[in-house]
Amino acid sequence: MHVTAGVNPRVVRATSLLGVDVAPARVPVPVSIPARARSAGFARTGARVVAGAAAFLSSYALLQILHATGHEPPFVRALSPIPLFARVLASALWAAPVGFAGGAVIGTRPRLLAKLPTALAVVIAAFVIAVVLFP
Amino acid sequence: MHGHLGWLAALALAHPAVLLRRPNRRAFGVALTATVLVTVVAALGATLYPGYRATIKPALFAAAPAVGELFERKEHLGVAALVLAWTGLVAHALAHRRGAVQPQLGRTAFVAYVGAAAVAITTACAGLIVGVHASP
Repeated sequence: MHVTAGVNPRVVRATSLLGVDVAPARVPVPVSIPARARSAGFARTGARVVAGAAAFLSSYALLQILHATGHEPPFVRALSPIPLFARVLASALWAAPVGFAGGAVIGTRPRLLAKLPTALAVVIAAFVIAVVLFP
Repeated sequence: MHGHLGWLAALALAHPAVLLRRPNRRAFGVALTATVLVTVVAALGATLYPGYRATIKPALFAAAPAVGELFERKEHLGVAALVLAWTGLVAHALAHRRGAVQPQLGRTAFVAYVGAAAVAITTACAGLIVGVHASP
């Protein structure tokens, strides 16, 4: 192409491309930060609840074993005159802070979050085994 | 009445357990109904339990210790059913909050409801056996 004096060669080259059919570039769908933060917040809350439930069931199973073997801690007995209710109260008192702290950690790590269903299934199985073996 | 409602709750818990096998599926109404039902049954059981300990339990353990222990197991499994039902409900609700699906929480809700249904059905069966022995 002959470039005459006073004409910007870059503009000339650019105009030569105008006729070329270029596929439109893929523009990523923007995800707003508040929506992403909300989603992460739901995941964290869910992880807290599930971690709390797992902590409740595991502590209940442990207290049940201790009760069956005659080693129930005195502070658990002090919670209620009925051992079943005392165990429920003690497990709930333990599960609340553990679930809150554990869920905050699990909810922010996708790998741990993905293992949550398996972890809950393991805790359920352990609970059932403990209850069956130590009534 | 506690026994009848217990069976109803156990079967009701099996419904979300089946429906939520796909994490993207929404079944909040079913899950809520089953969870409310199991909560009512648990509250009724907790109301009856002190009276049972004082009157029926000593006689039951004297007559059939194995059945007495079965009753104790049933109580623990009932507690687990209640906790797992609420866990499943919250996980399911959060998994589908504002249109965005959280598959991990959806799977967790499924596991929680399967566990709740399994322990609730076991509890109901144990309750039936105890009822047969404890009834006059």
